[in-house]
Amino acid sequence: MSILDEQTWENVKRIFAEALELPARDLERYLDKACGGDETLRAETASLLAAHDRTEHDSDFLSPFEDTQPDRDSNVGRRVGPYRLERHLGSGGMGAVYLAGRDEGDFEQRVAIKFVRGVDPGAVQRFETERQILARLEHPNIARLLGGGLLEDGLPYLAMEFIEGEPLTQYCEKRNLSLADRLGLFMHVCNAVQYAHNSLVIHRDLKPSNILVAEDGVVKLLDFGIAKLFDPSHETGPPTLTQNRAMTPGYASPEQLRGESVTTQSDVYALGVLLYELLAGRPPYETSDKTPHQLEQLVCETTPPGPSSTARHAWGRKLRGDLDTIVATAMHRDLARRTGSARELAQDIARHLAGQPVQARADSAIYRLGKFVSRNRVGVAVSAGIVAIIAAGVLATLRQTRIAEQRFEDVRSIANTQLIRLHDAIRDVPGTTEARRELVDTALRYLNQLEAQGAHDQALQLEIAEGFERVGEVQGDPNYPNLGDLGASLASYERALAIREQVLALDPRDLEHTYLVAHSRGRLANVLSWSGRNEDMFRESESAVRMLGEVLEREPAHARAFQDRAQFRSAYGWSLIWAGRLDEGKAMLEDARADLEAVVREHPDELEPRLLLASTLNYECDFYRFRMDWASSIELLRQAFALLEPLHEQYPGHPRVGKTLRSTGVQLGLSLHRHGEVEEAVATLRRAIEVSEALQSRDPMDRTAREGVALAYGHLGKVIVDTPESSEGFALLERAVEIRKALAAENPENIELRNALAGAHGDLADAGRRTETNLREALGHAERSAALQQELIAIEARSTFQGNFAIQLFQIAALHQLLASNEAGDAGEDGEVGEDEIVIRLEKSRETFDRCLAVLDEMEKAGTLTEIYADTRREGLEERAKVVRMLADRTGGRG
Amino acid sequence: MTDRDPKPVTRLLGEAAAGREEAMGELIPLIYEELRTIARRQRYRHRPFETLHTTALVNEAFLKLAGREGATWENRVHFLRAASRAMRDVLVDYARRQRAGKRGGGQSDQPLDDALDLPDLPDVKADEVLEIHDALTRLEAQDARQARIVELRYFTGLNVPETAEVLGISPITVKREWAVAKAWLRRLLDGDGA
Repeated sequence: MSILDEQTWENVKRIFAEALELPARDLERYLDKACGGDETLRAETASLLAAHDRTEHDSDFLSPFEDTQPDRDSNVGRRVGPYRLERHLGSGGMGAVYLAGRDEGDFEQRVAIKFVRGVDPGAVQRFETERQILARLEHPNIARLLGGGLLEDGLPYLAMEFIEGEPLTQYCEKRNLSLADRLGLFMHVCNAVQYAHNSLVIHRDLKPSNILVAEDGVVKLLDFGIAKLFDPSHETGPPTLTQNRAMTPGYASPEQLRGESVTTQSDVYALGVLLYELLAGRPPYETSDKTPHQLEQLVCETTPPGPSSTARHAWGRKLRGDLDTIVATAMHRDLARRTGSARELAQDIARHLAGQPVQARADSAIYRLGKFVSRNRVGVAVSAGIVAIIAAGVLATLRQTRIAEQRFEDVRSIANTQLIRLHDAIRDVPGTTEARRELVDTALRYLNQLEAQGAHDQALQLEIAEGFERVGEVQGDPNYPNLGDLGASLASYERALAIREQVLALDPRDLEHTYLVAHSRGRLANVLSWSGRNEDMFRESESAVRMLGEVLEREPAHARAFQDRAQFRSAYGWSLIWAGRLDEGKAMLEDARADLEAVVREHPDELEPRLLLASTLNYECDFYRFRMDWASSIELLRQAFALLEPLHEQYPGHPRVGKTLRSTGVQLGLSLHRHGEVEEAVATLRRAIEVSEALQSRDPMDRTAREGVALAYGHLGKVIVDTPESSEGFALLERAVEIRKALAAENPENIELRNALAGAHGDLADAGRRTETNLREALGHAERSAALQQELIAIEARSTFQGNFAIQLFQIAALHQLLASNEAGDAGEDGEVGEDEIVIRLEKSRETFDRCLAVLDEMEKAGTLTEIYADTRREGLEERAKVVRMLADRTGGRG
Repeated sequence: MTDRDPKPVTRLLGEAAAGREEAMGELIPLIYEELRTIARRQRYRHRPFETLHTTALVNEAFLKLAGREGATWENRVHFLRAASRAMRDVLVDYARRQRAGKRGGGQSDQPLDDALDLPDLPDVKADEVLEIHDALTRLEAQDARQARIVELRYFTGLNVPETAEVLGISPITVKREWAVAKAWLRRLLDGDGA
């Protein structure tokens, strides 16, 4: 750093002092003006201001000498908790260590008492929590934390298993241990580290002096997780060796030196350094003559020569190959390329010892996952800018998520912040299903661990609830691109709700917590409806809508509550309609629509409200579909279309926009067809197929995308079987059945998918019946469909299942009737079909009509006989009469 | 040490006040010795686990050296000016010895230089003392007054008004210069702009 001339220096000081008075946002402008183009002056002042910011976050820097310091000898004999100090053992950056004895009871227990320096009184709670976690570590190679607490003057102490031994490296050198013996001891170290990692504890300061070999030859790791208790700059401190007590030059990983978050892989790095030292007899980096900055550069930017080339031992050449590679991989500067865990490291050593090929060169699973994500994204037509932003987020987060096990805060940050950020980043990016599945598994594991540990921390509990909600969303909330696991989604949503309810119970008047519970209920309701649990769905929806109403009454400007209420009413209304409660459903949907129209008016550029409004219009049209009021249906769907086409142009790869556009297209095409506008119907349905196939090609695993394709095929198929393209129509319907079959088989718990499969079979049956072709196949499909509907009714007495069952019975009856007529005609010509068989078929037909009518009667009694089924009944009665007449003709003719 | 003749120090303090620069030079080794002696003997009576409190150390040394007569406010200011340099030397010497005595770590006993039987400095503080000491020699080249402020505030533990008094400048100036000096040192230690 060069010395500035006096004039420049005076200017620097003046501008610096003035800049400190300014708000941060005005800083750049002020510097430009004050420095008047003098680059030296500006650079000097700016770098000093940056350094000043760092000093602001570090109250320790240049603080006078007032550190609490146990004075050694005067403390001997002093009582600390149940122990009595016997001898001063040493002092280090963390504090002083004494040998102490427990003078109660019959046996003499010797412990090491560690006095903790510089624990901020505000951090005592954290200290206690950490201490309890550490006390649970029980492993033969880890020195146990036996107790601890605060002295009467507030000084924290820890009581630890007392180990007499010497540092591992020294032990090996003094005894001139063989290579194999060294590797054996090292594997013990790895196993102990892995054990701690599994218990969410990172050592943070692994080094030879913390790894002792006791007299009996057993390796003991000291101070596990202790470093963190003493690290005041843990959260915010800038990365310098000066203040970060929790690292040791030469063993600290590049990420620790840079002040980035410490992970289990930081310990793996330190294990790599240790292994290096055991193999070579010297450390990889010479640290004693380096400034902290030089050291950081050395570790973060250079790769040390392999231990084979620096070894002081005769076996140097043996290290070439496997062991050099194992060390280099464990010490890799890039976390994504570094050995993933202590276990992997130990396994590789074992492979080496057994003469098997080592894995160190192979890329880790998450490294491959990172590749997968980036590879898949390349093929996706999303603008380059978005890809770049997402890729950066994904890779950073994947690096985080690959960490096998993490300590509390790290877990917390991953489970909540990291996952949510990543999830939001890739939620609407096609092609990310696999990546999201991995993420969800990881996140869920973390959340489960967190929930157990943070039981009394309300803020943390709310974070965990949010974590569960996000996980539930990705697992199987049909409102979002999801992994299609409804059961898992339901479980996660229920966890989120339970946590939020507990928090609300502490203060039932709390507005935000009321909102959160309502929000949870609404989310849960939606997934319940897709699991076929309509009654539960209604109960949760009812409660969510009511609670949101309360929130809005007290806080009318609560925008999230307002939009949520509209969204939940929309889903609720739709479910009511499908449960046969048409008028209630319609009223609910109209409320939702009015609210959403208001939101769209107020925020015309926002995606979400427009999408919700389009969905709501779609739902509402189902009301008219049940009423067979095609004109009204068409009118609503055209409105939805008008909302969606511009959105689809604006967000061409957006799955939810695509999905909503597809379903609107399908519904509109269908209504147009029913309304007799066949040409426009076919064109609209072809557009829907276009959209759905494009959606699916972007992410072949996405369940809703596959469903969408089946849906579009099915509907176009139904429309064109009546046209000259009849055979294309049958082909489409067959393909729809195949897709539905696969989906239902993959998700046996999802009754909607089984219902859809039943519908697809029914569609083929209907097509055959109406076109009077493929009648026998049609009968098979109708019977399959009816059987499926019967299974569904056994699970849930839903009116639509009953209605569909009735319709399939109608089809079976009608198909028997048709077959009987055809066979009768054939019989007249060829005499191949016996008269008896025709009669049997007609009797089957009549019986089936009877069963069909009985189901419909039951529905009438239950008040769920909507017009569509009333029509079926009317038709059924007429057809039955025909069959009875045909039978009478036959039997009368014979008799 | 009560039997020590305070007069030479009082005389030197008087001369320093009168502007005789050599007096300061003579004072420093005296104070240095005294500081070490007090530190070595320091036994804390009130709390079981006490601190190495440099201000207390310097004050005690001043009372000893100046004696009852010489302990005037004026003399104290001159004393502190000299003591801050001595205190810096004591701490640097001390940190160097502690670091030399420290190899390895863990729970093994690492006896330090018995002649310097001070309470242990935290390692991190020992490193910091040496780093700041080195950095301060460079700051002296850029801004000698700032280096003096750091010496008084960091090594001697004076507060802003005391520092202002010793240097004969306003507390506001001390504050402003202190902020710049801290940033300057932080930047140097972080290796920015090197």
